[in-house]
Parts: sequence; structure tokens; C-alpha cells
Amino acid sequence: MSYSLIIVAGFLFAIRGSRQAFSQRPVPSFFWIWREATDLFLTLGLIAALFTVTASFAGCRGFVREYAVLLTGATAYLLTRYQKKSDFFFFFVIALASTPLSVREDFFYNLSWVWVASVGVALFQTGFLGLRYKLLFSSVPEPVKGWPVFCLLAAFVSLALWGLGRYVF
Amino acid sequence: MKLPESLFSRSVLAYLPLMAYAFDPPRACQTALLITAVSWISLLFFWFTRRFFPERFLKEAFFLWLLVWGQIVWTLAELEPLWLLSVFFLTPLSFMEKEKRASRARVFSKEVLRYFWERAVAGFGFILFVLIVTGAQKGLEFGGRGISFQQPAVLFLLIAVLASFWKNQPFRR
Repeated sequence: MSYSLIIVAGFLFAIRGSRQAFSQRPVPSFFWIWREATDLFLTLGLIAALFTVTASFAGCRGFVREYAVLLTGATAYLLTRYQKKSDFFFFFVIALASTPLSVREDFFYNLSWVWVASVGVALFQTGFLGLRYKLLFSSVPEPVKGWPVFCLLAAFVSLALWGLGRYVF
Repeated sequence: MKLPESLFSRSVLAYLPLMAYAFDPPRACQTALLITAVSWISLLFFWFTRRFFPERFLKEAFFLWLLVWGQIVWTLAELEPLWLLSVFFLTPLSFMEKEKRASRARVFSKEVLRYFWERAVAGFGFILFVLIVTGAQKGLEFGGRGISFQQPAVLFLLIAVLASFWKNQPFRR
């Protein structure tokens, strides 16, 4: 599930994360993608740290574990609004943060997952938006324009990343 | 009959978060039903109660509502909250935004029927899309001897084929 989650996050960020992907002439901004990935890493890392610190108090542990989604979600919402991020960012922060927290409470495990997820999302976007940009200069047949070609590109990029993912997952 | 283009886009977008659960087709179908039910309940609840919330906090209330649903499902079924994103795609927030036409419609008006009909079709379209993808997935696996769907790439290829069929349907020519 972890690998699929990263691919889905990368794809949705690429097609709905910025206005550039919407416009007819998108300019894939390498800097923008990696800055978003850094923000994602820092936000998720902060949530993981807060979760670990709060869960380390014996009195809070049960409460924090039981209401993990609500607490993670509330923290993610505040952090997302503070950074003026999109609603997608908020939902993916919840999804990506809840995945390791549901497995174990080890902070370094969570941090390594967060790092892998952020880099994976950024790599996917880099590959996808780069290929999408190149497609603007090729004659794509009308019947496959739009969703079909987007999904084909996503399939190719996710296959390429699977090679790297094998060493991680 | 010509169906709106947005129906397919909405279904694909709502299905994408579900792809993370797609290695388990029965669970994906159950989650699709849950997503549709929660999106309809959310729409009904917020359409009729939106006037009671301060305008500034309406969107915040909606997100809090989704978080509460996420927590309930997490407690009962241990389902990771990624499905909330599908609900978000199926429940457009246009009726909460001041500048949009839907937000100016009266709570009890003729607009309600049209609006709810569109949302109902979107929900059924999404369920149908999940059933088609899951059915194709089961069919192509041949009981473990065919294509493996552990890879998201295979699902993307399947969606590309479906999208191509949708885009080139005879009704659109």
C-alpha cells in the first residue's frame, strides 16, 4: 500500500496540485516541486514528532492512539492553513501521516517513511510533469488526449519508480 | 444519451485515492460504497444546515466533519483516512462558496432537485467505475495466474484503456 500511496499522491499533486498543470502551457517548475516536497517532509516530520512526544506520556498514550486520525487531522489542518497550502496538501498529510502511525510509534521509522514519501512524491511529479511538458511539442492523437495519455504517462513513471522502490519497500 | 465530461473525471479522481486499497478488490468495493454514502450524507447535511454556520467557518466545519468520519471509520474498521479525499472529490464545495451560483440558491428550492440529481449520478457513476475496474482486475488476474495488480502501473494502464473508451464513445461523435 505504501508504494501505491506515494504514486497516487504524486499523480494527484501533479494534476491538481498547482495551476501550472491546468494551463495549456504548463511550465514544470523543478524548484516548485522540490519546495513542496520539502514542505511536505517538514509538516509530516513535525506531526510525527508531536505524535511521538505526546504518546511518550503514559497518561496520554491511550488517548493519542485511540484518536490518532482526529488529532493528526486537526494538527495537519492547522499546519496546512498556516502555510497557506491547498486542500490536497491537507488530505495527503493526513493520509501519509496516518500510515506509519498505524504501524508503530518509532519516531525514526516514521521519519524515514516521511522522507521516502516526500522524495517519492517529488520524483514522480518531476518525471510526470517533465514528460507532460515534452508532450506539448509532440503530436498526440486526439483520441488519446486528456485522461488516457495522463494515465499512460503515470503508468510509465510508476514503472520506472518501481525499480527504485524495490530497494525501499 | 450524452453524459457530461465531468462525470468521468470526477469518478477517476475519486477512484485514484482508492487505488491504494486496490490490491484487495472486496475491500475496495466496500470502501467505494462507504465513500458514496458519506458524500451523500455530507451533502444533505451541509445543504440544509449551511445557513446555521458562520460563513467564515463553513469550510472548516466541513473538514472537521470529514475528520470525525475518518476517526469513526478508523475506530470501527481501521481504514486509513485516504478515502476522505475521495469524499472530497465527490462532494463539491461550490454551494459553500459565496461567489458560486449554487451558494445563492435557496435551501428549499427547485435548484435542490437538479443539484441532488447530479450528485446522485456522480455517486452511482463512481460506484460503477469501481465495479468495472475491480471486475476487470479480477478477470485479468485469472486466479493469480494472469496479470498481477500489485503494481499501480497496471491499474493506470487499465484506467487509460477505460478513459480511451469513454473519450471515443459513439454517442459523442
